[in-house]
Amino acid sequence: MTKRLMFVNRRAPYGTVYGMEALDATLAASAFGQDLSMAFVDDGVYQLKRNQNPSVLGIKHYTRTFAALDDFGVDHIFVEQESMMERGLKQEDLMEIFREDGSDALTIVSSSELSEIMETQDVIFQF
Amino acid sequence: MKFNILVNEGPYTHQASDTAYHFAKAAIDCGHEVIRVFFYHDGVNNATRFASPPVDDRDVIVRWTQLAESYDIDLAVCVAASLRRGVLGEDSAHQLGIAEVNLDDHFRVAGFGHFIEGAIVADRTLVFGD
Amino acid sequence: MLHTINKSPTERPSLLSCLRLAKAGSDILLIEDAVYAALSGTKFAEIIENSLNHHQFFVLEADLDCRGFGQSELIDGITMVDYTGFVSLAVKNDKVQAWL
Repeated sequence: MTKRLMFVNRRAPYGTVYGMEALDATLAASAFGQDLSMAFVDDGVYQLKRNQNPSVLGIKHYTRTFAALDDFGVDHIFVEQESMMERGLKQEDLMEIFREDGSDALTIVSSSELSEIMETQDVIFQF
Repeated sequence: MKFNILVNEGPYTHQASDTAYHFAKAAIDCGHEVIRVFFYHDGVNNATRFASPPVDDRDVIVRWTQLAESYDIDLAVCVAASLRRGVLGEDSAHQLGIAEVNLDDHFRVAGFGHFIEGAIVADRTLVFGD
Repeated sequence: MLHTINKSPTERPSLLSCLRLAKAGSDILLIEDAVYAALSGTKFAEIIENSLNHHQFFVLEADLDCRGFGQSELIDGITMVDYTGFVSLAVKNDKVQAWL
């Protein structure tokens, strides 16, 4: 039986390790052939900001790997619109993430849309 | 019902490990099964055999090991998270040429995939963290 | 779905985020530092009172007791549960989401 697993990121990158280890967790999950998705809520949306440069601190640039999420079977990446608005972020502030077929993997959704999507999951992991 | 549990924080920094323990114990007392407790992030520090808390405080590590012994619970620490933090089982210590093993022998080192596998098999997964 | 929250509402936005994203009808359990959200008289009390029509709220007794509070200080309509009650809520709901 295939389960729907969602990884929810609510933390900003670099200040704590949670974002990076959430990505590691998501990649580890890809080996199990389940239905995977990621969501970015609250400060988690900052993980998707363009032009990050963690090399100035010698920290691993883990968010680059978001571009490869499609290869790891992560079909959907949801970003909550309300969290973006609270932080003054617009779509053009975020990195672009494409699927292999060229379609946009990143979907901006409202709270109520995300709420419905969460309800359809079997397991939700928050980081 | 089968429960799968994730602990993301260290034993004496955050209440997560305490809450996870009390939940696991209550679940078992209610006749449920805890198939796995997986330790991630600083949660891997729940598995060090050298922890020596003062006598007037709870021994978080011993509590986990006693629960595992009594109810045959799989205690697993994430390999990547534990290597980063120097919590070493026999294999890792050997590979790194380090003489001392600090992983308590009630815990095993496993990939994060074992937690995911637990989430697939279990009826409920609970995350305790910061 | 059962939502657990473990952050004080004055420290992190977990309570507000949970309320924004929890579907009506889901259960919410306040544990650890989130038990402060269950108290009457805080600036968050009204938000919870207004949500009582959509969600059933629970608070973990041990965490409340541990911090020096009890039943009499709770917002009316919040139910106190022990760890066995926590387990029952996890069993009753089809999944558990932890708002950290």
